[in-house]
Amino acid sequence: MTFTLFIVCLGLASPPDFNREVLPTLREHCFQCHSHETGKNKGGLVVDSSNGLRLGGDGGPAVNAQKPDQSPLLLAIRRQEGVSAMPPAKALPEPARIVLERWVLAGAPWPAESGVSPKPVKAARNGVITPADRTWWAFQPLAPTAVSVRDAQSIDLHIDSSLKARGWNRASPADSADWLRRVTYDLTGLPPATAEAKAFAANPDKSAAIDRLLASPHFGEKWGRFWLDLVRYAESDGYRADEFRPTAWRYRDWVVAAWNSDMPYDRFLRLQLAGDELEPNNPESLIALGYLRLGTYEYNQRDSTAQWNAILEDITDVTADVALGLGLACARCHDHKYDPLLQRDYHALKSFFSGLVWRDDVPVSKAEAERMLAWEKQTAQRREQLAKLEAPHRRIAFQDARALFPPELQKLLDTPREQLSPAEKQVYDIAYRQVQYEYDHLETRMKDAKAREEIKKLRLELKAETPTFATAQTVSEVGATVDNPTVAKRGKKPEPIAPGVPTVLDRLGLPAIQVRANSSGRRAALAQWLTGPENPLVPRVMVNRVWQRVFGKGLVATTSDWGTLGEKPSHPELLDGLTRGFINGGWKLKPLIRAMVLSETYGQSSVRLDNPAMRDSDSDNRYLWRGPSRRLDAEEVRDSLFASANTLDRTVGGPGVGDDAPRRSIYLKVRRNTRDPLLAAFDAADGLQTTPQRLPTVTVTQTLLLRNGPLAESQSAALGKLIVSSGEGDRIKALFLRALGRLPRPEEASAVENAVASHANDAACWTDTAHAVLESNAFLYLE
Amino acid sequence: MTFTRRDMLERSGQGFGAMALAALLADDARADKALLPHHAPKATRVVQLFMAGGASQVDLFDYKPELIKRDGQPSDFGEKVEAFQNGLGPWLRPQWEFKPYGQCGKMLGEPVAPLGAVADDIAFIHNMAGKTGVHSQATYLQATGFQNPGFPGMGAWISYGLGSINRNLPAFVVLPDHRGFASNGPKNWDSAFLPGQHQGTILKPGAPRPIEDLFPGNHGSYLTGTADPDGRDTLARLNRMHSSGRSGDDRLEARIASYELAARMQLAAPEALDLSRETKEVLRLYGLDHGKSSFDRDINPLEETDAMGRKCLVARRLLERGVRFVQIWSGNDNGFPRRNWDSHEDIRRDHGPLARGMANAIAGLLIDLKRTGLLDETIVMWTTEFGRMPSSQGGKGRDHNPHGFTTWLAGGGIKGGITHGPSDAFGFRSADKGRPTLVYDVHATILHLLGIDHTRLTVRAGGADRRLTDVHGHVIEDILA
Repeated sequence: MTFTLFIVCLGLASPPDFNREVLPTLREHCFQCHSHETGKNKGGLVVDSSNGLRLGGDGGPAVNAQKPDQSPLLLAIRRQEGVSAMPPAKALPEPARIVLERWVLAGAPWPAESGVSPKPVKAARNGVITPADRTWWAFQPLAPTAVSVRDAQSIDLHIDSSLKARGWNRASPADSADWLRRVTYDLTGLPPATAEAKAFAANPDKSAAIDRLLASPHFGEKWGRFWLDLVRYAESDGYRADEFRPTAWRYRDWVVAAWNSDMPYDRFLRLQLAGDELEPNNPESLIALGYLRLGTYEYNQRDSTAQWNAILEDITDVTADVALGLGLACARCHDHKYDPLLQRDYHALKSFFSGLVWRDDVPVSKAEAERMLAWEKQTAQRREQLAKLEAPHRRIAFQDARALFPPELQKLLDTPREQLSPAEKQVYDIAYRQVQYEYDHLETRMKDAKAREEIKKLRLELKAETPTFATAQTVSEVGATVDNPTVAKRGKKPEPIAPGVPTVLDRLGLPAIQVRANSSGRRAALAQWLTGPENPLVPRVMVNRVWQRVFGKGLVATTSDWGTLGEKPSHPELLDGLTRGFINGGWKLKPLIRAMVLSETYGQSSVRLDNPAMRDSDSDNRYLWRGPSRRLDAEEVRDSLFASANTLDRTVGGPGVGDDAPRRSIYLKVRRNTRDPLLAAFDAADGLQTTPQRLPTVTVTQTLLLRNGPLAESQSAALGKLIVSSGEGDRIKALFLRALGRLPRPEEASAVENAVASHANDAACWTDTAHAVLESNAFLYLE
Repeated sequence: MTFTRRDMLERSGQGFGAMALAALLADDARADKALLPHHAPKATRVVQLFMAGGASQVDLFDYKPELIKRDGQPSDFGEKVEAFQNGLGPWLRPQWEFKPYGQCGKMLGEPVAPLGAVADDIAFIHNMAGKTGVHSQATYLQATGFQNPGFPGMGAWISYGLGSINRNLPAFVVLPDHRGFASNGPKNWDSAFLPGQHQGTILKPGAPRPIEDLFPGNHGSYLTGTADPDGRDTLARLNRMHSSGRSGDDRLEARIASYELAARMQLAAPEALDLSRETKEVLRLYGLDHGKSSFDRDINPLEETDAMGRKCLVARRLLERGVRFVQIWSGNDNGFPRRNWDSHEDIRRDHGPLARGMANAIAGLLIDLKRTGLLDETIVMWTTEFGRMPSSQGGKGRDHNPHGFTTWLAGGGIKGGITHGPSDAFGFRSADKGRPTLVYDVHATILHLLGIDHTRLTVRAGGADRRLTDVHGHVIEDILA
């Protein structure tokens, strides 16, 4: 801008009005080939932001800030020799050219409020990662100076020093009942029980309380849910039929158990990506691989090639989001516009998954497999008899199902599977599900009534004596050899892409891919690379996610977006120190969480009135000048309604249950198309996209649900009854202890007292009082 | 038992921030939205009419004499065509007569003849193309701009971008078919990664509980007349105490404000749904003057008119009261007997009554909007997930056709009485094969008329800047007034 002034002082040119003259001219004559609006960046150039002009295209910057009169843009519109004339077809009309000339000579000022493309714009990468790209902080090794942080005190030292640097200080400690409520929810997602609250009031031993909570089986339910959000866990197909997945819950239970047993994060990740290859004899592996089966599935999609490709790309996207904290999806079709990620990187990551095939109904243990085998033997004869009867009808069903596919897929279905290439086999398998669907529903489609009844009868008989086998939806590989995915560049032959790591991180070599008997070994290599000792991103991303869960905001605020559009860390030394401590401690999460919640930083009061300056300049509490405060999560709202009324069934694990069951919300069936209304209203994850953080909203729907909804009403009644029948002398105290885990403050007690004074023996009155407490802000928000 | 306005104002405490209330009303100010509208809008409201199951273009709106000529002859598309079922039977003529209507002389099929009265207000697009013949994905594509789940409905985007223009009702209201949801259910109007208040609110005209949980209901009747107000009083007092010392916490203020809005909704929603004050003349416009209270068991035009007419009249009342986006569904998900537009077996049997009911009701809506002056600022959009094949499935039904179908628009900023983007001689696909009109173009056009540049209404989610039109979309200049 000083430069602009300089020009103006010399009186060479005054800039034309940007919004009235310049922008319309650019839009009319240049945007067609060089803007985000049209999605074109010919010659790598966009001219819809000042960054775009300065970064320029293949030929360098479009505007020369030092010598505006030498700006390529100016020369181009003047159609000077030696420069590509712009616009190429026809010279600009004179008035338009003069507007742009005056503007470029004035330094091409671009007012911030113009609203056009406010983001940094990069020229095309052309498949190249530059040395500058490699300097982005997130890709660097842990700072050598960062000292391992594994205890609460070290966390406090870091936070205090950053507060001190701003001339700030910590808030006073939270009231001990508030602290207990906060930590109990943060570690278990449940309110403190009355007895626990009373015991803690008598002996506020934080360390003991934390140990008790970390050892609770409900810890895994709370923290497992956070992982399920990330991997978009659900128990149905989505799309139209939204078919229920009756064994998906095993993966959910495995996640909960892994958190409860404090499985090291590296192993946790490895089992989900490649348990079959890395621990083939571990039955848990099969279930952990459920991670690779969580995507949506459309049962009557006829373009099976595209369908299978989309399934693999979905896994690729989610894995990059979850493990690396990088939004790689943009690089599916082109090099990433902002981050140093290439299209080739995307497909190289996808290539790790290119051997996958889906496996359903795999027995979860050796014993179960033997049981299944025995049953098969025992029923072999009758099943053969049934097969014989079904054969002619199956042939018709096959033809009918086959006829719905496009010709090339019909051809595929006509070919014996063993003759197909690996990639063809995978497409065959996904298409064949639709044939199998017809077989499974054979009796509903048969016209011959007699044969139909006979088959129906036999099927029913067989079903009646089939035990329920413990099975899982899992994956295996198409074989030892798999086909690489291809990328087609315009006008060129599709190029197969081998597995590989993102170029920007290629200094961390990929472990050798060891081919197994029936498996490519690719996923094992990926899992090992991600959790390798030198990978700076994977542990950092996870440590930051944990910090975000505990303190409300990540040290890197954009927890799944560590690229150049994400935010830089607020406390880089602390992040690296915690990560180093995490790695040194064997990637264990419980000690990490323990250190955080035991810190005095965490223990601060969330309300602070003594220093408005801090609130004004850091309303997000990024620097932690007060304690965290959050609304209860959706599951916590629902679970607490039950827990307060003492009606919660605390059984851990098992198949999903219906909405009405008084179980913890994590055990409700998760149907993608029909969500529990209360959970949906309170911003639960939707199981469709990875959800790194919930976005708490305040809506009328929530208010109506808490005021008039069935659960709030029934649990208020139950809680009211409990208070009345408990025989407690002080009902108000009992109510507050049950609902809020603390005693009422004097003014709260007197408010309730006034309300109930005239109705003291009226059960309805206590129901309504309980209802009031259960929908109050004191209930919904943690202090 | 319910909130009264006075009640709430007295009880819920004073002085909550305007910001808090604005957020509840889907009117949250965000830095990146500060530039909205991007230009002067031509319209402020939208009605989206969605025919679930796939409405036939060639039997209703897109007149093809060539099909009459070749009726029964083997079909030949001049290219390899992938049918969804067995849809490549002989050519099948339009199942009804077509006649010209209006100044523009638009040819319309007999069941939609009532729309002839407003033909001069409508811009037809006959060269729409989708991407798939699968119901769910095609429905997602037309409803959210993406064929995969996980993206906000158009109404949610518009609510997010422009906020509410009323203080009592949600910005985005959905009137589902009274028989049930279409493919994907409520996911079609989900807010996905946009804040929750932008999700479509379901309203069921005529149902005992038109809005779920608006009133304390059938769950329990333990509440007594005296205790409930006391409970609410206690709540208000507890919240006030909680807020003192936390002034400036928008979340808490918004929650307190939400009780006021809930109370206003309790008054406003039943009033908006109350058709008893409408005059006979108005009821007649929508075909609601039949005086019957029960209908035949089989699908019939009168019942269809009644069902759709009620929704359309409620839509007008909602628009009048400042609801920004009303989505009306015709047809539920698959099932037998068919109560949707998926006429694989018999076009006449299912399309006949559905189309007549739809046309009666929508013609009434357009005339009524014009009468009240609302049509000038309301975009009315008629669409479906895909069209139907010009060939038969061997009998009287037609298979899915994602290659070509009709969408039409009317109202604020739309040039009426025109046809944009012709289809080929059979109504199979765009006449200019390489350049069909896509849903992105329609969405871009609607946003444009609302003052929004579709490339600039973006939200960062999942590591990408998402928008309604993905990376596509061109405003259809031809149909702008």
